[in-house]
Amino acid sequence: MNTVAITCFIAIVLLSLAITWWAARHTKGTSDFYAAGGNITSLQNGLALAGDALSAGAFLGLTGLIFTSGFDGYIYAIGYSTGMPIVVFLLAERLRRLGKFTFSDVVSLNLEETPMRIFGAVASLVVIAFYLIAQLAGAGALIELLFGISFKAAVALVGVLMICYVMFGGMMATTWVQIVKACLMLVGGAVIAGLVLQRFGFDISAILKTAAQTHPKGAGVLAPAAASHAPFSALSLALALMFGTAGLPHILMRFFTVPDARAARNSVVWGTAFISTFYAATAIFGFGAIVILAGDPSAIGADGKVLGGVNMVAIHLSRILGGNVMLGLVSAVAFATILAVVAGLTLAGASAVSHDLYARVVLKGHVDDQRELKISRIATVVLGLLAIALGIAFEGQNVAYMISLAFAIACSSTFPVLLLSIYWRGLTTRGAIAGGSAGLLAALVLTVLGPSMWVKVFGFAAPMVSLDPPTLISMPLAFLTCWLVSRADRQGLGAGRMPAAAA
Amino acid sequence: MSRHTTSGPRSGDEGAALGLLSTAVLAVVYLAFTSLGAFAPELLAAPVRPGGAITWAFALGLGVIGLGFVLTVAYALAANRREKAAEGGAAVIAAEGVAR
Repeated sequence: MNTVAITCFIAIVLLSLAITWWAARHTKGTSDFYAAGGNITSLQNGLALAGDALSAGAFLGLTGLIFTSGFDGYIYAIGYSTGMPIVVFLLAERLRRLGKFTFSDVVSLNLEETPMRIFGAVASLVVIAFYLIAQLAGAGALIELLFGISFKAAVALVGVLMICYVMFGGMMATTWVQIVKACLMLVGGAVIAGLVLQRFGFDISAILKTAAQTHPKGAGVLAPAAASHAPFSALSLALALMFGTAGLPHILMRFFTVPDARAARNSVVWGTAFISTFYAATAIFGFGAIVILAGDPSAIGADGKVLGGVNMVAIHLSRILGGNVMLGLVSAVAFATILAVVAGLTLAGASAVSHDLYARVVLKGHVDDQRELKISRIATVVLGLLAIALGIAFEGQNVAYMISLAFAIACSSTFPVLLLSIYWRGLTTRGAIAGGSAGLLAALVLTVLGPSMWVKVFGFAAPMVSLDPPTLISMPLAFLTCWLVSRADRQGLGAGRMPAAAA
Repeated sequence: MSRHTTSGPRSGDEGAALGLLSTAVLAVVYLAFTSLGAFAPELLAAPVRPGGAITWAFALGLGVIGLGFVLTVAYALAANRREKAAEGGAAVIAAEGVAR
């Protein structure tokens, strides 16, 4: 724990609270709370999208993964980079045109509102719950290491700050905290990449060559190896990485913060530029770390393992390259990243409760703006406290499966229903709910029976289902069920209910 | 079951086709890359230039990342251009869209 780190840490907390105070003064109604008044520009939204996509996992996690497994880790960076383009091709501008605050606005547009809102809200909350608990539990462990405070205190601190941002500052604060963090992360990443490249005379093939000479896997780190042992899991993972982003509620809600469809579209161009560059650069961090950390006793213990775990690879790398100043800056950026992402998740969850369930389902839309705003603030506090409690409950447990589960459910439940509701007029309410629920349950059950839970959490010797993640089954199942049930539904309507409809 | 009509402009078929086409191109290329890693890893492990450190895995992997960005820019340019042309012809619909 050094003075630079403490100073940066305090500066980030104060800056984010100042943003929240400013945002709170401008948050007067639900449109401000859920959608920042619709006044976010394309560039600002692009930075916020980049901030959401580049979570602590994308920076610390990916660097650690490449450090350990070489190209098998870089596979994730390549996969994640395809997520945001899919969002602009299929969804971004249509969400902005057809919806107001949540993606459930869009799925309930041409179908029966009440059941679709309930489905949308429940699916959102399930995805958010897994994502948020994983982020908070990861945050606790990371902050414990970086700043030397206890796990429980760290989770509580992150949780309380997250509740403050969202409750007082709504989407305005959540977006600006995310923008500030995205800028810090992009600048930090550029500096680290520059320092690594400088060590190797700005020759990328020199990094790769030395990494292959240093790593125990040898030249094996320069190409995928794990995929050929489990080819169908590799394809399943590819589907989850590509289409998962398009089903994440905290990403989708960002398209309601821009003034029009064109701004929604252009914001993804900015977002993709930042995200793709960063993901491409993780190769420099990860392969650079293989060489730079090797044999350094301040980073690698006597047992050959990274001190503090593989998530600390990027932190060790920054310290070795730039001393305590870089260590402090990068630790603070990691902290800011966690804060910004959990705030976005909490706001997406609160919107599902207050806008979809309370205002539209319980009160059928007969609600005044101030009352809905009050309910969304209460929902923020309740969800936030619940997340803190669950985050603490998962202390020391393996939560790695939770992020992949969130992605699997997103691309097997929210994404298929949203996509079909926009593009396929034949979709019926029953078809959408049957398909979305089938996808959600399949993703959940197959993950429980798969390697990441059955073996790594419950400790059984062999998984019941070897496919991991389950997307290759659960995603087609969702689409197929939507189609079959909608078709049966329409035929049933045509034959059975015609007289009733005519009467 | 009631079908509401939506206010504001609906997405035209041409725009939807462009989005679906871009998705298909990126998905086919990315899944082909993944399939190479899964079913023919020796092809990706080969260096681009004999004796070099940069393998086909890196060249094609970075190609996938680059393709995603290039397609995004191309999609946005095409869609923006079409939107501008449509606005010229139907200012009323555009105004309705902004007013929403």
